[in-house]
Amino acid sequence: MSDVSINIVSQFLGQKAFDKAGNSAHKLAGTVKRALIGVGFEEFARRSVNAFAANEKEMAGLSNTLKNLGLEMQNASVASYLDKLALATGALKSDLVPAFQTLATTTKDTADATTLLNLAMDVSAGSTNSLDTVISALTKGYKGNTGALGKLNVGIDKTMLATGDLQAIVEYLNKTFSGQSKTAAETFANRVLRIKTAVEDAQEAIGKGLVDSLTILTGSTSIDELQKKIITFGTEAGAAFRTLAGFVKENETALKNLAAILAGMFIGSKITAGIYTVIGAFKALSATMVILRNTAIGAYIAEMAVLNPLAGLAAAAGIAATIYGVIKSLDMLSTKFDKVGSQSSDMNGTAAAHLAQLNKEFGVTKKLVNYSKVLTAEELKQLAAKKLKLATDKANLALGKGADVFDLEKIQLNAAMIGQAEALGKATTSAQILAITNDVQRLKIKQDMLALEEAIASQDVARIESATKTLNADLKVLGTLQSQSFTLLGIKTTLDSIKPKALVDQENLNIALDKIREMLKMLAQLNSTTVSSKTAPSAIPVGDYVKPVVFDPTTSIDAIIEYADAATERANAFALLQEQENYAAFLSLVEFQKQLGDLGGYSSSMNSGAGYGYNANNVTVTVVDKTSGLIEVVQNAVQENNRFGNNLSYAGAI
Amino acid sequence: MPTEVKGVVELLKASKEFAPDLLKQYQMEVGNALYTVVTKARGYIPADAALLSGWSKPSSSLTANYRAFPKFESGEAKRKIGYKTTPTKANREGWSYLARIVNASAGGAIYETAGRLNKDGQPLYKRKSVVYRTGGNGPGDFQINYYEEKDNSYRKGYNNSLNPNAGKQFLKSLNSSGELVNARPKGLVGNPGRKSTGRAIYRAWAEDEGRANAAVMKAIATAANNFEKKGFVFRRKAA
Repeated sequence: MSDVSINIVSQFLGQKAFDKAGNSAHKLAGTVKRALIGVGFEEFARRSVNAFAANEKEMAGLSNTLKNLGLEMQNASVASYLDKLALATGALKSDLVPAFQTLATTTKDTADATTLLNLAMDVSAGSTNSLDTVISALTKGYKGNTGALGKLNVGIDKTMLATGDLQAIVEYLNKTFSGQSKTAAETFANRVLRIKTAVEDAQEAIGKGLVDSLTILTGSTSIDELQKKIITFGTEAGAAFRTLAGFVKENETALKNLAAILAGMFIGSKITAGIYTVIGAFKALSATMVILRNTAIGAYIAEMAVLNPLAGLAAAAGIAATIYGVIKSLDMLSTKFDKVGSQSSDMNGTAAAHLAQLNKEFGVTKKLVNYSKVLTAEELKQLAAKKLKLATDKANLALGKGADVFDLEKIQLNAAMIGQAEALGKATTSAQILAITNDVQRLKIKQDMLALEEAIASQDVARIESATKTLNADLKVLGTLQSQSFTLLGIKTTLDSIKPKALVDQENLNIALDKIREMLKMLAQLNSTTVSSKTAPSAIPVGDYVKPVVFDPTTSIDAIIEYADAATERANAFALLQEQENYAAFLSLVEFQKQLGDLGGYSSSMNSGAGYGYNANNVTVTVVDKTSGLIEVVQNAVQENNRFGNNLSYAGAI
Repeated sequence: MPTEVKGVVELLKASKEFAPDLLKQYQMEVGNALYTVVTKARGYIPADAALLSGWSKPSSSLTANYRAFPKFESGEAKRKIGYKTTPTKANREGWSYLARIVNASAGGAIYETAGRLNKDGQPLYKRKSVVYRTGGNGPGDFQINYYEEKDNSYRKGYNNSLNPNAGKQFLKSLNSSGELVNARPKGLVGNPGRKSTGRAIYRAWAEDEGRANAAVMKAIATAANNFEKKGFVFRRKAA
């Protein structure tokens, strides 16, 4: 035991159910085959004859009893009643007939016997007593011996039993057990019994699957209808058997020979797939026999019928084969088989519809899953399409680039731009520059328009936006140029943009070289002065500097760069030396200040150390009258203010 | 005991394919509903010390070539009580279970179910004869049972212990920590049966009184409704 579980929600899955139905049908086929076919037609016929004989015997006994009781006129109605009762309750006629016979003998009235039999059926169904026991008790009670009724243990009061009032007892039993047999008849077990009653020849234990399957297979809507179909088939087949009996009697030898032939045929037909195949085989057999009848076999039988007439139906051992061999019965049987076949067709239709329904239901999930797969396939397809588009775009882009090389319009535009640039270099007046600038701007706008067209064709949003922005900017510049509200400085950007970009910009190079020259010149001037210091004389040799070099246009770029690097390194070295010299000068200044004393100092470090305040005792601090001078100044100021009318007193002051 | 439904397996398959979020939501709701029962069931698993000590001791033999009687370990038994929300494969009869509470450990399963079939432990091997005695001075009549001698072979379904009261003592220990409780709802027609009886998960399920079941059904209904709200057409079968 490895997994104890509580199963909370369950669902019956159709696949297994369908298999189960298939298995049930297979079992049904096997059951029917065993009942009807598997034992052979001889056995089937023998059982039919036996059943017929037993029934006849029972009914003959009942008929005789009724006749003796003076109730002969009720014979037919009693037989009909017992048939219906057997079919309705599933009770065996072999039980009902003796029971009714006993009750009729006791009551001498078929109505009372019927009432008591119905009551006995209800009591039997509603208690644990058998029908025989109840019948016996009722019979005894009818005769005045109610003790047996008490032994039934069905709740009859002892007082009631003591009174011997059968009427009261029957009323009590009716009240207590009414409808029990009908209810019981609808139970599964009794449904099986009812089927068993209807197909008593089969004598097989028929399960629920068989009942349902038989109902479906025959297209019956209820068990009653199924019973009727079975009975009808049996009755009509029985009539055919009776018809053939006379022929059998007259054609035994021929039929025996025919039986051997038919047995071979029957075995050869390999009936193994149940009732469908059986029905088909019946039809095939019938058709075969019809052909045979019209040919040599028919002639042979006819001949033998004349030559060897024999009596007796006892040769029923070969009855099944002979059934189908008897020409006169064959047509009738064929008709019955055709009817069954048509029912089979109906059945096939019903089963097929059921199968289709099941398949439809089971196909829901499958469809959903398939739909998912389709979706996935669609997505893959879209993905592949996107990849293709991307590759195509890349290819178009490359093609576009390639096309640019051979695009005559672009070539012309570029040529025009180059021409304008050359013209710009030759322009000498502002008006010429302005005209050239206008032309260049128009060419540029033309280029922008082409770029925008290409961008639109490419359906690249970012590219379109960029191209549009560029075009608008250039249009704005052109508008500015054409309105003459410009300055040369304002159009400098345009001019600069149209200048061809050389690999080495000579102007920039010249600027850089000028900077270098200035730097070298400064260095030269620096070297021309002497730096004196007591403690750290300058380490820069006199006259040691890099002289400015003037390059001519033939100087190589590498040479210029090499010179620039060397000059830079040297400048750095000189700068370092300069810093060292400055520091040495600073230190010597500090020493010098120390010798002079505290003069306020240049820095905190200058006014500290041993020298600072070293002669502090020699400094005399004299406090003088600091206020006399100030008072004098104030007095003079007041006097002059008063003299010039600038009285400082507040209005109203004393 | 399981509630029968139709079309839910198909619904869950469709949800898995087309609306995985709904499937997750369904599993979460069902899980929440069942977790309350699981928690309660885990609480009914006793400590090792509460049962016979020999059951929880490790096996003494390391060389046994057979599967020894499973040991009980409280922690493992608690851990392996859980729930499952994925539908099972259909059994031979065609039934699939959509949600389950499981007691998956061997020791836990024994604790759960021991005593269902034989409340006094497995019987001794084949009673040979019975002798009735009349108690002369004793309390009354009594009977003496004579059993066939047990050979060395293992007999399934019978007490194979040298102690004839082993099963009884074992069950007494289990019952002292938790009685068997039938989870079948009261009032249903038919025999409750022993297979819905247990000490942990069945007891917890019985005490839940159908709340978890109702929550699971509600989760199913919610999943179906949400599936349809998403625009999927899910044909519901007639009840």
